Amino acid sequence: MKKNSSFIWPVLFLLFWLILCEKLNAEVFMIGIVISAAVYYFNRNLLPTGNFRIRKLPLYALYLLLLLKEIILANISVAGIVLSPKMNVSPCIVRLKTQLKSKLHRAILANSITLTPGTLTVQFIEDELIVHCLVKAYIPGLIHSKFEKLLLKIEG
Amino acid sequence: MKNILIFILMAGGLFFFFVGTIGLLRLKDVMTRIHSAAKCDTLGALLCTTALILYSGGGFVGLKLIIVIVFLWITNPTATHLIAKAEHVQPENAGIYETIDMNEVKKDGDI
Amino acid sequence: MHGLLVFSIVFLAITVMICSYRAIKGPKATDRLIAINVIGTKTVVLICILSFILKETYFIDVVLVYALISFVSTMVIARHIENRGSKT
Repeated sequence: MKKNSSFIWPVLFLLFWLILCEKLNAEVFMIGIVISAAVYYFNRNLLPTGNFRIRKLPLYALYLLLLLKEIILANISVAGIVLSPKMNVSPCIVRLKTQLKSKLHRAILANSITLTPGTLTVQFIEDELIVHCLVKAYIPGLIHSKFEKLLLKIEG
Repeated sequence: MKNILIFILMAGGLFFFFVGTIGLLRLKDVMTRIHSAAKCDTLGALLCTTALILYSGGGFVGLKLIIVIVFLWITNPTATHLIAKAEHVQPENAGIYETIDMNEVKKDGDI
Repeated sequence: MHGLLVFSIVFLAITVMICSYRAIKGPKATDRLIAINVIGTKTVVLICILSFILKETYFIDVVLVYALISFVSTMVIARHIENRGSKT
């Protein structure tokens, strides 16, 4: 699957260039091909080359929808905590291990935990997450995380 | 119909920005302030920018605004994580919060 | 619709001023950094709305560059605080 990941970056650069140019004609298109190929050539050691598979794309879209729903629901509950007259917060720090293997999926999981209100990823050492919780009631949702299950399904 | 949708999205975005600001002022600790500040801002930016995409009516401007959303959604949690890490590694902060180790509890199911 | 956009930027400007209270007073360096980060996100949305009021779409390119610089500066200052300590 290495062949897939080598042509996806120049295509993304080309799309980015076309959107920035705000018009579509042959001249812009050719300049874009040259520039995106050059950018990919000079940065090829920095770009991640994980085994990104196109047929896993529906699962990623499902992940995005789940993330959006969770963020909206949990943001409303945090707004309730902040706006209530006496804020009953009970901060604590939770350590837990994750079973994900690839670095990209670990980074996605950490960012999702940060975006879901009530929990905040503080540190990520090897496969151990250190999470700061605003209220202790959020901890069970953190252990039986829907995000981790879906990411394991993508990985496996 | 479109105007009503734009109004609802923009009002929601402004409400979450307002909640983030109030939380930044009211909460008592650095870590809890990070909670209120970073997340409400991310959702507020999403809602406001979606309202602007509807207002612009598609085209290249809408695509550029989608790039702005993607960029904010990647960078905002990362910056938040870096600030929280910078606060957490300070030696005077060791042992302020109670630490729960989930690796043993996880086998027994719920806490 | 035009009135809604003008109201939005006035509201955002007021919240930016309230945030700058925390940036000036904040007891630790980390407090100030959070407040500056929040102000950066609000400024991004504010410039987006402004580009629709003035009907100049190239302001959105300015928004992209502003978001990039804001992220990099936050990252650098956070690293500096991490190495040096968060006094004042």
